[in-house]
Formats: sequence, structure tokens, C-alpha cells
Amino acid sequence: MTTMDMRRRASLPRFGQVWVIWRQHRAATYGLLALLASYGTAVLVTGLRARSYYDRLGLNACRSFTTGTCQQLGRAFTSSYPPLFLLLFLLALPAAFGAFVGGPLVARELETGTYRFAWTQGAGRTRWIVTRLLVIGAALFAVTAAYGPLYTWWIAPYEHVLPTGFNNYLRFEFTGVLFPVHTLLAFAIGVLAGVLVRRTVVAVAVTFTGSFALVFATVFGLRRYYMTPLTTTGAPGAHDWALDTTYRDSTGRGLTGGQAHDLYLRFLHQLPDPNAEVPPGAFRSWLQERHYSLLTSYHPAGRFWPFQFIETGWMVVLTVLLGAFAVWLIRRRTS
Amino acid sequence: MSAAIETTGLGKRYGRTWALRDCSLAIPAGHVVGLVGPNGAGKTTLLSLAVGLATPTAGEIRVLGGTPAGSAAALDTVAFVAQDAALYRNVSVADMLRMGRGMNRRWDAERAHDRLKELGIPVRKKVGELSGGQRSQVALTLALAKRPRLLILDEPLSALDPLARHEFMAALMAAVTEDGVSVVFSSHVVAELERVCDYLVVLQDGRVQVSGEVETLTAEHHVLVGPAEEADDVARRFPVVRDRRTSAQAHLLIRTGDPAAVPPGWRRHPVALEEMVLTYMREPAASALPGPARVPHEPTGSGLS
Repeated sequence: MTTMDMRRRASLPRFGQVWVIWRQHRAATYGLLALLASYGTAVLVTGLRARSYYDRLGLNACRSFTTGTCQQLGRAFTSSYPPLFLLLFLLALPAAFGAFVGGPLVARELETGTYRFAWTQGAGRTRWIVTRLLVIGAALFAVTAAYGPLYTWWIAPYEHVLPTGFNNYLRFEFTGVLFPVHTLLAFAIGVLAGVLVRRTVVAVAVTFTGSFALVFATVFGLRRYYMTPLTTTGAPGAHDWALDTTYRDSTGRGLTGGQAHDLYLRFLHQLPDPNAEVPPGAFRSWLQERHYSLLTSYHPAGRFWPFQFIETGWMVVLTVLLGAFAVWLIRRRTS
Repeated sequence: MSAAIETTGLGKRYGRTWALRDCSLAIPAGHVVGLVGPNGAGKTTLLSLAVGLATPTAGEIRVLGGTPAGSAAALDTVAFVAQDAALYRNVSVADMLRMGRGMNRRWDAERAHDRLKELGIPVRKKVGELSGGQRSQVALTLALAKRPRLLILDEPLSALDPLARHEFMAALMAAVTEDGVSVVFSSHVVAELERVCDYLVVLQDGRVQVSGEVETLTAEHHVLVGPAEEADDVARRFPVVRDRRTSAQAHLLIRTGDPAAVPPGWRRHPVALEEMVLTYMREPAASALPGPARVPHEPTGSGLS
């Protein structure tokens, strides 16, 4: 132990583990960046095309897009965008990233036996897993955070013509940091699944299915319940999230769906020209004249950020808990 | 002399089966220790416990003079070569070395590269493209680059052909002479042990059956050959490991610290290590634990089951 050429360090080499992680995730990093690049290119090309179309239609001159020529032009413009439901696949990306990066992280080491190398090095297994979670988590966050501004820029002209409420899940997803947070949650689920099932393929499959189901259920089920909705008899604003509408008669009794439908048919019947466009709010005032009221429950536009905060918050907490659980399992795991 | 591996009442249970039970051992440092036993005897379990990959169900295990196995201090000074050289197959040898460097406080990169150059192993090749022998050498190089005080190898020879086996052991022995590192390796190959190790531990069904220096063990074990009708008498005087009798002659493999104690009319033959180990492995009830090896006049029933 006294050999002169011996490299003795008091501490671990700086970025030693980071290089190891980089070496093992080079391919995954290139893949993620390639995906981001192709997404970015598509967004850039179609976004620029949309902007030039916007200019060609002369939409700058329009004050409002709810009536007249501007409405027509606005429609022409928005229909030049692909149907937005096709972009639903974007909600599956966090699950995919989490599954393909997180699932194999520990599972592959356990499956191939290389954990016996990794966990018997001087750094120890706790540092091994914690560095991995932090470094890869940060990288995933950085890459996925780029998706938000790209989408927001791309959809901006559309949103300008046709403002949407914050039930618009894509706008909600890509504003703030929800998209990266969904990715990190899926990543944590993937790592934990890998520790528990010890099989790469199973971990990836379970993580993808589970994370996508969780994000889907959150977006389309859970999210509306973050706060108690308000109710109004007036019309909700363009950026509000209208949840549900109920009809009441003059005595305040609620109408059944059938009764409400009948009312609407009666309204359509009395219109002078049935083929003409119904002006916005016409039905509402028609109902009010007959002492019916429309009760809309909604989340006001001002709740957008509180909702973002709530969802980011619980998901970050859950991610940290799952990550800590995975670390704990690895620390006490005995082969 | 401090102990390389020291266990007291060590036990490890997987589910309902005890892979290792009530194991108390003190392997002194400065030896090349062979850990032998049939498959499933608990060799890998004991080594996993020694490198901290597993934690004991019962008892405790310490390395290098009292450091708890698997602790940060132990991981710095204990190197491990896992069975089948568990390296990343799609990583080049050079990158594998760099990974080792990144994960250790002590690392002798120069020596590792020199070693590989000497062995003619191309560092640009991926680990998965190497032959089994080369892969084992890379694993050994990675382990030695840590400059360990204790080197633990799990079945390092099992996947190697005789030539590679020979080369591997030569490399290991060179490292031992150079660094004075203590070595513990498991093997179910009993042949060649004598040439390599100077300390032996035989595991059987999760228990330690034999443990001691090879020199002492071979000096203490003898085969006594004599008339069958006196065999019972003789067997009462010595601990008998194996008892083979024909109608006229008896062959008793005994353990005694007193080689002069040959009964009149009997002949004494030395026992080769390999034969001794195989005998113990065949006679699970026989044991020769360290401690008072000399029990000359106590009648024991061992070996007569």
C-alpha cells in the first residue's frame, strides 16, 4: 500500500458517477434529443406557415372573431391547423420517456447481474442510485421543458383567433412545468417498477401503461376537482373552464335532459331563419325572457395558475416519495 | 494478524431456506483462501455477504480487521469479481476502466492499462466481444485497479477453459505477490487448489465443515491402513473422517495433530488436499473446524454415520 504510483484520493472523482451515467445513457440521450429536434422542426415549419397564412388572411386587422368576415376568416385559419385531438399523443410522451429511461435503470442491472459490479465499487450503491435519479431526472426535465414553449408558440395564433378555456388540456399541459413533471413522475414510477419486478421488459410495459393511465385519469378526471367550482347564471368567459350546465325553471327546479332538449328545439323553431347562425348568447336571453335560467358551474380563468400549482405540487411530492422508496429498497435490497 | 473475513453466528435465509447457517469463521489476512463446497453449499451467499451485496439474517460479518462488510470503508478496500464477470457487455474495455475510475476513491489507471497491454487485451473492444478468459482478466484488472486489501472472487474459474484457467490463476498469483492482497475465492473445482491456495474453507449445506491452513490440514490428516478387526479400537482413538473397510483391511482417514501416533501393525499414508476435500464433501457429517485440532483420546463418532 505504499507504492508511489498509487493514485489515492480522499474523495470520489468529481463527475465520476456522472460520466458513468452518461456512458450508459448516451443512446437514450441522443434518442430524446432527436425526438425533440424532429418535434421542434415540425412545430417550426407548421408554425411559420400558420403565421404567414395569418398575415395573408389579414387577420391582424380584426378586433374580434365572433362575427362577420373576421369570423369566416378566423374559421378558415383555425381549420388550417390539424385537428387538435390528434395531438393527444403528446400526453403519452411523458409515460414513454419515463418507461424507456426509468424502467431499465435498475431492472437491467438486476437482470444481467451487473449490479454486482456497480454496487461493490467504492462509491457504494446509495450514491449510485441517488446520483442516477438526480442527474437523469434533471436531464429529462431539461429536455421535456423545451416542449412547452414550442407548443405555446405554435398554438398562439390559433388561440388568438379562438380562445379556449383552461380545460384545454394541451395548453394546460404545456404551460408551466407540468409536462416535465409528468415525465419525472413516470420516470420515478419506472425506476421503482424496475426495482420491484427486476425485469426490463415488464418494467417498461408496466410503467408506460401505468403512467399513461395516471396522466390520462388526472387530465380528464381528477383535475376538475382540485377546487370547488363556482356557479353563474351568466355566460362563462372565454378562458373559464365551464364544467356543467343545468336548466332551471322559474320556481328554481332543475329540468331533466329531455326537457332541456325540448326547450332548445322550441328556441330553434322560433328563429326567423333556421339556417342562419345562432348569435352567441341568443339562447340564453331567450330562456331568460321565459324565466328559465341557465346555471353553469365553472372554474374561473384566474384559477389557471392555482390549478397548475396544485397539480405540479402533488405530482412532485409523489415523484419524490416514489424515488425515495426506490432508494430505500435498493439500500436494503439483498441479492 | 488481523482477519480478512470474520463471521460470528452468521446466517442468511432466503424465504424459508437457510443458504448459510450459524457460520463462525476467522480467515486470517495474507492468505489465498479457497472456499469450496458443492453447488448450493452457500459459497456465493457467504461471498455476497462479505462484499455487502447481501445483508445477514443473523449474526454479523466483518472484513479486514473489524470493518463491517458492505460499509463505505469496506467498499473502498474490498474488491469483488462476480461470477461470470458481471461487466457491461456493450461497453468497451477502455470505457469500463473509466467507469471504474469514476466510482472509486482509489484507482490505479496506469497499472490497469499496463496489465491489459501485457495480456494483449484490446481496450477498444467491447466487453461482450471478448473471450471468456479475456473477460475474466478484465474483471480482475478492474478489481485490482482499486488497489484492494482484500480481493474476493466468486467462481472465477468456472467459465474458463483449462488454459485460460491457468493464465487467470497465474495473473492472480502475480498480483498477490506484488500487492500482498488477501484473496478469497470460491470454486467447485477441487483440482489445482493445492497449487493455488494456502488456506481452505469447505462449506456444506450452508455450514462450515473445514477451515484451516492447507499446510496444517494436510499435516493433520492421514490415512491409517491396518487389520479390520482392530479398526474399531483405532477409530475410537482418533477423529475419523472416513471409514472404509474390507473383510481384511481398514482404511481410516483420520485427523490428528500427532503424526507419530500410529498404532502398531498399522501404516500411515499422507493425504493429498484434493482427496481430503473430496472426502469431506462426501461425508457431510464429518467436520474439522478450527480450534483444538488435537483430540487424541476422546472417542468421537464422527465419520461413522
